Amino acid sequence: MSDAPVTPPAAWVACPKCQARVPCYDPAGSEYFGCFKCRTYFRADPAAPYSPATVVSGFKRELPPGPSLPLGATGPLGGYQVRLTGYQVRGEKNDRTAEWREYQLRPAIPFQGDDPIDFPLQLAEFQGHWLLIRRAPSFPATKGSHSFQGKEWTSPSTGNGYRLWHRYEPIIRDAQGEFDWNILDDEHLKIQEFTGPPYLLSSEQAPKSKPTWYLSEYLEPAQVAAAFGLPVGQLPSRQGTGAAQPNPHQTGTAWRLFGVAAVLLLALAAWLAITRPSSELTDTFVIPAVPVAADAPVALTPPPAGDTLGLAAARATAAAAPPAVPEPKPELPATSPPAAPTTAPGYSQMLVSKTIALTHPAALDIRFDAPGLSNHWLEVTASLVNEQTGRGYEVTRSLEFYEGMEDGEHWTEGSYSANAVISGLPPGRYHLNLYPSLEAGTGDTELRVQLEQHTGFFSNFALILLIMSILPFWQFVRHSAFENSRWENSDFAPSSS
Amino acid sequence: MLSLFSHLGADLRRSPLYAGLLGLGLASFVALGLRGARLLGDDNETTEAEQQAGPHRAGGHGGYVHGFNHK
Repeated sequence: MSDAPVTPPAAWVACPKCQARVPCYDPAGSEYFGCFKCRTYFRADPAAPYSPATVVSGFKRELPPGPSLPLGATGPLGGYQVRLTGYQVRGEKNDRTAEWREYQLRPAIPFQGDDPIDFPLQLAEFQGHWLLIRRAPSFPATKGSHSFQGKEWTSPSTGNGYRLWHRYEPIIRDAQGEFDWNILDDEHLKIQEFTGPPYLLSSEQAPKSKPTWYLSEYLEPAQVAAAFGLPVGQLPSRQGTGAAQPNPHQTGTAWRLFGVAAVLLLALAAWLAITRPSSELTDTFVIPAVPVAADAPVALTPPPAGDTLGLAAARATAAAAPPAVPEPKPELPATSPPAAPTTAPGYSQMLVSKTIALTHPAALDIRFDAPGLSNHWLEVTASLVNEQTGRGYEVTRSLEFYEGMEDGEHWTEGSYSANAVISGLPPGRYHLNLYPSLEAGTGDTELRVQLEQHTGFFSNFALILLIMSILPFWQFVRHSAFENSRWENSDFAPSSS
Repeated sequence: MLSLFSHLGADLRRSPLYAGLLGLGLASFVALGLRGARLLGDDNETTEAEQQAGPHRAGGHGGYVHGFNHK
């Protein structure tokens, strides 16, 4: 991008091929140079300008897009004021498509004495993702010239975990500027990279040498642009997911908040269960047999006119009297049509349950069981009646149970039990008026009715818990998608290892 | 425990909207519990007008059952 240094260099060296003057900001340290003009890579001594430079190699052409940061520029990075002095394009021996750019960083103001322990610093850019590379303070221990063979490692000092990301041998495809080592020697290195976002731990090992470890830290493009005073749009745009790019979809916050809310929800459910204890009432009736000849629809024995709620029968039941013919109650509104004549005594009749008292607003679970039902059906219409207000709540349930033998195997179909829930009931005394209809040909059938109040809390609990878990679950999905996208670029993805 | 609370404080500052939604969920749960109401609704077949007038005698099916299998 920029062919000229930003600030005047301390020295110049001449390219031995084209005689172009190459700037040198670190005459004491730099030894190898890449010519901006003819791509020659040569060795020179900036401190002795009259000694001849020697050609080491040559690169064919400048690889686009070229350096996106101008060599010679200075800026604060990694806690130091640094200068960009060298630029190289690197690839992999076994992958012709992989290509990234590395910038050598030297102190803009020379240190007094030796360089800090984490020097030299480098900046690497791959598909718009930036890494600041420095010497690693801690790394896996290996004996002699053995390379680290593990696929995971956790730093004992920081607790950061690293997972094997990549193994490769580099090649140098282009170079510009100055270097304090022969970068072509790096083509003999074997490199291993371990990711632990936002860090990338890498080992570089020359043949028969101990590995050297570097720790790279992911930088946002805006950080790099700000450090060198450039507009962020001038840097390459990001593509894909970087090896050490921090996952923006962190799940910890959402899961922690959800966990606390789930515990509170459990505590509230316990409080509701204690303050509104569940109670049950069970009533058993026998529905008389229906003659086989009666194949017409069964009519019900209606309650007397003016008692559609069955209150008279309920009171009669409460008085331990059999629910025979209820007394009319003129004080209640007569809203039903005139009573129809009974078709046959014993076919069906209105049954009235015991009274259940609700002390608080509650849900009521009504359970019907006809355990003797076999190869027949029974339909029950139940009207729950508030004895104080006269309000009614109606449900209808069909019970059918069939069974038989086929090919020597016993089969069953249907169920002889069913339930219904009525919720939001105001406090008060309630009873059920039951209108059973039995299939013709059925014998005496026992019908058990169970009323349980304060039910329904578990479904509320489960549903609210489910709704509250949507966000952390969604975060988890996005987090996983991001990690999958990261590991698409690796041969050592957790699922494939 | 202290570390958990400090984490939670940071989490509340980081996700105030989600924390608010969780609070709303808990409040809804208590309100539903106190009213004896179910989020999933119930099986009551009576309309509001019918509740005022009193229930049917024989339900909505007139005593017939459809759809069962006479295998």
